[in-house]
Amino acid sequence: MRFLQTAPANETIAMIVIATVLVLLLFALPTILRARRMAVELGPMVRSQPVNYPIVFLVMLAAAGAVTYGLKLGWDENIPILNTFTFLVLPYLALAIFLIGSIYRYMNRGFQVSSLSSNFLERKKLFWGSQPFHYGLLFLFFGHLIAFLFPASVIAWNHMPVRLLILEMTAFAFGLATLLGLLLLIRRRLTNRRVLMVTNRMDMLVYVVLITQIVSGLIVAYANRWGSSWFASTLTPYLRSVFAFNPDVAAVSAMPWTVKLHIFSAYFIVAIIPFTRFMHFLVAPVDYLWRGYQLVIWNWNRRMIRQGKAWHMGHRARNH
Amino acid sequence: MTTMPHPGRLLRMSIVLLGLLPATAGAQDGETLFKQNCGACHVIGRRLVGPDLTGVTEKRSKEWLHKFIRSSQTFIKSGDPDAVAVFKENNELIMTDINLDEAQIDQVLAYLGTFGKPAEAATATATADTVPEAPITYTDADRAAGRELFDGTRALSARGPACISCHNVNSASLMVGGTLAKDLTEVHARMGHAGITGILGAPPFPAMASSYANAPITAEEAHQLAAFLEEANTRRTEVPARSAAVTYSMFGGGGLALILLLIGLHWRRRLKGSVKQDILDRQLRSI
Repeated sequence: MRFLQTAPANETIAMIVIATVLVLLLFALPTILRARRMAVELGPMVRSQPVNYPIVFLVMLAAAGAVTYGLKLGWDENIPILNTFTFLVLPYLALAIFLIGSIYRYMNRGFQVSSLSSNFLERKKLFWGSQPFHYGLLFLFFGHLIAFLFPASVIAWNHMPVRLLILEMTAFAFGLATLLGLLLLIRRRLTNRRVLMVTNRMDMLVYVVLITQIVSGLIVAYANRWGSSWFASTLTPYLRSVFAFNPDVAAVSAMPWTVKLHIFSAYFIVAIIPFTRFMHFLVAPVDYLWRGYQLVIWNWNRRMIRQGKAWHMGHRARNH
Repeated sequence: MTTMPHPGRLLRMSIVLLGLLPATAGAQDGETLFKQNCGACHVIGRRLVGPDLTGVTEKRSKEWLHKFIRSSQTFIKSGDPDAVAVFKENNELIMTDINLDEAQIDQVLAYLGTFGKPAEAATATATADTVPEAPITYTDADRAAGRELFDGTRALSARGPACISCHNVNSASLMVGGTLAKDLTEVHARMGHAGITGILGAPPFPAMASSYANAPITAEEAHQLAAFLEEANTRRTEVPARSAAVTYSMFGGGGLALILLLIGLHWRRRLKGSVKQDILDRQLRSI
């Protein structure tokens, strides 16, 4: 932890102030929650005005833009306390919130862990949004994971310029697919009345953070290439140092602000997982990939159906 | 038994040596720190990339040196006339911020302090200037090897990432390079052989230092890369500056179309409408 030892006096004071505020917030949180619950119990049972989600979305988008601009100014000036917070405090904060929050939510509010969506009722808008988005995200997630777990293999693969180009362009195309899917999904959520009924404000935050993450990733891929190679040699050692509880922020502090924004929003996503629909990736039915077919037996009188008179619709039971 | 020193003398020697220990240890640490953090651009006795530092501790105050070492650009922007003058004298080459704490900078300054006074320094630089350096010769084989090392066709012996990961060089024989770090097309003109090989041997930039911390570039590879960069600089006018915008839009757009096509093909037998339109209508009526 040489970084902490070398921190000048004012930086140490700022660290102490931040730590104090965090501790105070931690203690204040139960009180705030209790007060809110009491207000709900004692207040009139009138349903509040429906939320205007497009406005919420635009306001959050504007706020994200303002935060991004502020962070950019700070990172460009290379303010030490900001780098310390982003790359040394935030990762542990985010991981702690993620672990405690998701375990708490799964144990106590297990049936809420869902993406609250249904593809039984409409298909077209969901299909062309969800498919490119989720496949793109899976590709990008595992791409980052491989570079984190096996950096040497990525560098070895990139030792032929053509292979480097193939990897970069494939990842870029999947990034574009993810962005396209996300935009279609946002349009669906904001225009479909049924989907709006199961929407909450946190969904808008999810969209804004995802837009920040994907757009910053695409900007990094284009403007700070070739990311697949330098991620493996500079960010992997940093991320590993974080997981080894001996963070070395020198290399990451020297990165351009776009890369820093991408890392910042990634930590932010990890931190808000327990409070949002992001939770659903933890309970994704992965076993569907290898479970056998399910045999569905309709418990009806087959002869009556065949005769086609007793069955109220006059149709045979078919899958579709 | 003439080789055995007198016990008393041994004791006296030990005490003297013990007394010297902290001082020499400081200077030795200073030397190590200097070589690790400054050696890419500075040597004592002559100019490398940066100026000769002989006698610098006599010329400038300790506070001044501390400020300049920690963040030269911040110091120059603050308007210090000496700092601005040094920056201009050295062709406005930016010195990177050195991540050392106060005590470590003091150790480096203690080491630099052992190289005498400005008067001696003047003679030292004079002799250094008069002694011609051995001319650097690059062969065609060096240039070819350097080019292959640069774009990764030939892997670095310690398996570090290829230069093209972060740097671009405009060369007809190379694909468009990285844009994370500086464009190196004209670097040989700015830094010369000594500067390039110095930086490759002990990178002073944090991201580059992290990349090659466990995969150092050998002296031979540094020589070959310098040969390639020299050639790239002399032939820079032959190659127009290139942009990756076309590559990105073509492959990105084409790849996106391919992904959408594959998804559509794979799920071609999907249910196109809703399972029960009437369920949807009923639900909408109940809102």
